[in-house]
Amino acid sequence: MKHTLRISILACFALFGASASLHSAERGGTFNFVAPYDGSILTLDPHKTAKQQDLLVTNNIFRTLYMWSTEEQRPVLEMAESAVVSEDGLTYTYTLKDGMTFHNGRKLVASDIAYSYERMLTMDPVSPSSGFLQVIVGAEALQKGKVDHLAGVKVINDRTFSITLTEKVDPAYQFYQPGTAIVPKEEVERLGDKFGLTPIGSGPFMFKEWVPGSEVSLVKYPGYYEEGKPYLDSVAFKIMQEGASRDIAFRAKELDAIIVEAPQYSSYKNDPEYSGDLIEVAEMFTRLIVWNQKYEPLANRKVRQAISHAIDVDAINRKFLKGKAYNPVGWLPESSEAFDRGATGFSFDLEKAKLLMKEAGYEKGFELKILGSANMSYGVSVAEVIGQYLSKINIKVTTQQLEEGILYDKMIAGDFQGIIWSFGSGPEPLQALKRWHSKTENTSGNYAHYNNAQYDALLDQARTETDPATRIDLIKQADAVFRDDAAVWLLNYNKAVLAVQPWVHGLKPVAIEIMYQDMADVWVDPGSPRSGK
Amino acid sequence: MLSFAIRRLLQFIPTILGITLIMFLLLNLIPGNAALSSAGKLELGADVIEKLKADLQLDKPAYVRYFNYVGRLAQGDMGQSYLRRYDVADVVFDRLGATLKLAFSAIGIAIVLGVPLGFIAALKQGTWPDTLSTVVAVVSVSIPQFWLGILLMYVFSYMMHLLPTSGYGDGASANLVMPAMTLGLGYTALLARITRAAVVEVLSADYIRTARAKGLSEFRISYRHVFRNAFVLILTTAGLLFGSLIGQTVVVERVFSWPGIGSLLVESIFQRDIPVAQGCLLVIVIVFLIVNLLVDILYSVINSQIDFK
Amino acid sequence: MTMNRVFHQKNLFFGGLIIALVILIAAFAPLIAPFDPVNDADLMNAELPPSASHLFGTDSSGRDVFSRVLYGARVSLSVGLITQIANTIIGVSLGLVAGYFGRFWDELIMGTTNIMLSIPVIVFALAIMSALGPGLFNIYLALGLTNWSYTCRLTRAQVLSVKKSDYVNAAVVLGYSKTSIIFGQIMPNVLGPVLVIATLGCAEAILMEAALSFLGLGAQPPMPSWGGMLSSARDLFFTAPWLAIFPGLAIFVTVLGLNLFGDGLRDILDPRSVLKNT
Repeated sequence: MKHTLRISILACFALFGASASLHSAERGGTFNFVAPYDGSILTLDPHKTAKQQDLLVTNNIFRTLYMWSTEEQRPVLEMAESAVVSEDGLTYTYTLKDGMTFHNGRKLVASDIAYSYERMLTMDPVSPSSGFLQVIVGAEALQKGKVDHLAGVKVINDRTFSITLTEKVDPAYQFYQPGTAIVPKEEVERLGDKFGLTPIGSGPFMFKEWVPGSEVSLVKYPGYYEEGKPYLDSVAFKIMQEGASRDIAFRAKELDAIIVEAPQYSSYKNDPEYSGDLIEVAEMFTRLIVWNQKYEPLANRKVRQAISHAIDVDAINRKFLKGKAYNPVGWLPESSEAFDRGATGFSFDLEKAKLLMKEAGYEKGFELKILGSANMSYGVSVAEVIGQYLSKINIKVTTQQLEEGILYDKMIAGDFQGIIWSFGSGPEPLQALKRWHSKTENTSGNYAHYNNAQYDALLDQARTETDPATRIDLIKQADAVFRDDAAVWLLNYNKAVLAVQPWVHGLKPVAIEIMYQDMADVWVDPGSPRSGK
Repeated sequence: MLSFAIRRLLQFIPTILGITLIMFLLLNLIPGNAALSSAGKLELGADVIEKLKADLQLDKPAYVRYFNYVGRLAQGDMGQSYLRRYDVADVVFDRLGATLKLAFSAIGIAIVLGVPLGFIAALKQGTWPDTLSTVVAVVSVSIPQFWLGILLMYVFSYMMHLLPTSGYGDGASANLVMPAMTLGLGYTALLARITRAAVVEVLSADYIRTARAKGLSEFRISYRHVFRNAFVLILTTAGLLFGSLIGQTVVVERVFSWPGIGSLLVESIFQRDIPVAQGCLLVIVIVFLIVNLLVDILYSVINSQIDFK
Repeated sequence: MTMNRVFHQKNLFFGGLIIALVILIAAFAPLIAPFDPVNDADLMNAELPPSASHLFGTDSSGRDVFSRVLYGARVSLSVGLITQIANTIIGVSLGLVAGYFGRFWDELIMGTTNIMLSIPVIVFALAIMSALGPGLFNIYLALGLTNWSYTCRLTRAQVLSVKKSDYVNAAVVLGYSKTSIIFGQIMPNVLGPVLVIATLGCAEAILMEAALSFLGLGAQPPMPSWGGMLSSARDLFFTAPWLAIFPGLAIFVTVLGLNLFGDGLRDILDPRSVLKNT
């Protein structure tokens, strides 16, 4: 099972490589895409939002210093042609690509990068993405209002600038975030609050129209710096929250591609018209139940292990989630570079689970309350199924459905026994594992208050390790420690799926978030009803 | 007439104040951290969260925020959206048009279908058209609206590919048909029922009997007396229904992803964008009050004309 | 006219029949239902279409939809009944106070009523539910505390008209106490129309619960509520339509019964007084 899944990912890559070389891309046409997440698009100012729903659009209007590469499975330089690292590994000197312009026609220069980062750090209310800039020297001082400029960013000339970091990390993983996009100062100042309504960036598409709550349409920017791109004349993002509506609209060919949810997955999988063109990827989100070890039974490692053995996670992923999930091993997902291909997760073994419960002194079981949202893939409905399994080892599960906002509060306050949820687990593996480091504030993600000295030591060691292979190995070891402690119960890594019309080319399995598509690479052949031919 | 309208408008003020208080209390009771949810699904440092709270003034006690809110409201300022970071008024009024469009279409459908249905039922009392229209009326108010919406989608979009499933599209009628039908059907039934009752009442009035005795044809009777007199009641009812219909858009807009105030309200509540939620509620209530006022004015205008004749 | 009368009695009859049936189902659900609505779940039998062993098929967790629909009658009926009892008690008491004592009380209560009337009930309930969180008890609160304005206005109007009548004047002169006047003279006049409002309100509350569930603010899953079942079925509408069709039909039939009954009741009582006030 595992193997076929992995092969299918590889096949996906191969397919895209092939399709690019076999056909030459056609120009023109309109692409109808979706914005499928929680309702309205709020703002198109990338600095003012952290919602995927907004960023999946701004990603195409703006550009960031680095961007995610599906080919390399890591962020790569986008706006600069080169980055030279100083000997101490702390200063990066970038040379911008030639010919980049904003949609107002002005040439994009090095000071725009400095301006954009400074704007994020001095905004009121604070930019939700400002956290990604904290690795720059002087970011904190600027944010606290102690200085006027960002000391760590130096403009050398129009095309060259340098960024100095506070510690030795790979800046690519910070500055590829869509929330750190580069904006033109004069337009931001001219438009004020309205910049988020009529954004102007340097990306492949220009903002055209926004019908609030309904759709955002973009048109091709002819001055885009990548030769020959974008192929499409226009892209429309239709805001569609209801899975059933997206399904119908796609089948009626009103949409060129949609994100597929678990309930619809099997019908696409079995549909010969679409099954061949599904784009699937192990997204870097790990679904889990966070255990609160302040609840006595859960403080016992054997109990947590027993729970992991008692649940047939494969059956849940296969049947309940219709196979739209990858079975978990450790915290890091399959698409992570530190994913341990040799390791396996907890086996479904009821006898072993019973034995562990007995050893822990909980043979008679206990009551367990799991909180969750209404989400179909990682909400209370999944917890109910888990309850079926846990009743076999005498654990009586009750569930409570709450809104996400309230769950957040409870998670931070530690007011829960178990919460079923989904957390980002990528792309940089060390950063992803840092969540469970005992020094991590619980607001920053260590909701389980996980504290294991061996785990901490392995991560600290990996942080200073210079040899890439040893570093990855240390990370793998840490992940194994975390897995065996069963501090959280792992449900799956999300399998993100796009259903695509046969005339569409160039959509990619983007592991950070499948909806973050770079539409500059997408084209449609004359089969499309909107091909423009 | 003018002084009446002005007096009524002044009466709005205590009502609206009362409503802002109730809404503010309710919406601020909602648990869940607005600052956190405004930041989306990111794990933030504790200091960033504190700064956000301070920036959004969430660190101030509720009564201070309420007085600030009412104070700004009095100057016509509905505040700033936590999530969008621009004026609530811009956010809300951008959506009002879609809701009004939907509500007017729905009430239009209800009038066009409901009134004739009620007339036929009243004129043919006790015959099969009467029975049929009564049955249709009861059946259509008993269907859960969102269920009807999904069924319509299934039939017209999925099976027949006739209409777009949802969304605003270019605002064209094709997108409007199903939401307006879903919303209007229940009200068609109510309007038919009211029309029937009103017409029955008029028909049994003395002057109609006189007219009949005079030998006027049934058609002229129904045109001249019945319609004009029943019209007042129908109009009043339609106005009242319109008010409750504005509330119902909350559900229908959600089903059909119609970008109106109703769906915005639900969304803002879930996202804890309290200023926007308050703005939506306020606008819904004000639309309701204004429509009722207009109905009252129209009612007295028509009544005085009838009396005059 | 006689035809009509017979027809309206038919309404009452059929409505009553449906309600009686639903009440029976709710009462004897444990005896009729072949499975437990919550605990008899088997993932391996998820989303089976209707068959002899599962009349209405199974849901995504493998629970028997037929059993869940039967138990769902309990949730819906309790929502209708409890909220209407609450609304009626609040509405009648406030109406009595406003009408009987007048002046300050009248102004205060009618002012509040006007405010309540200008907030659509569903919107009000939505705000309350999001403040309290999903759950059956919270539904009772949200729908039981918000929909009493009509009852209140109607009671007040009745009190005012009775107050002026010679009969009451005579009673006062004869030295009857206020309470005995209220309960002896005014209540019987109010009872009929209030019953009609409550019956129709019951139907409305059931629909409202379903709508709130649809918005994610209904009863707590896995409680078998019709609205909740519908809500979780919508994404599966094209792959497993039975999940949405049966609970939807159940709501429809129950609400239809209540509406028929309420209509019939209204026509038997003085049709005009009720019409004017609703």
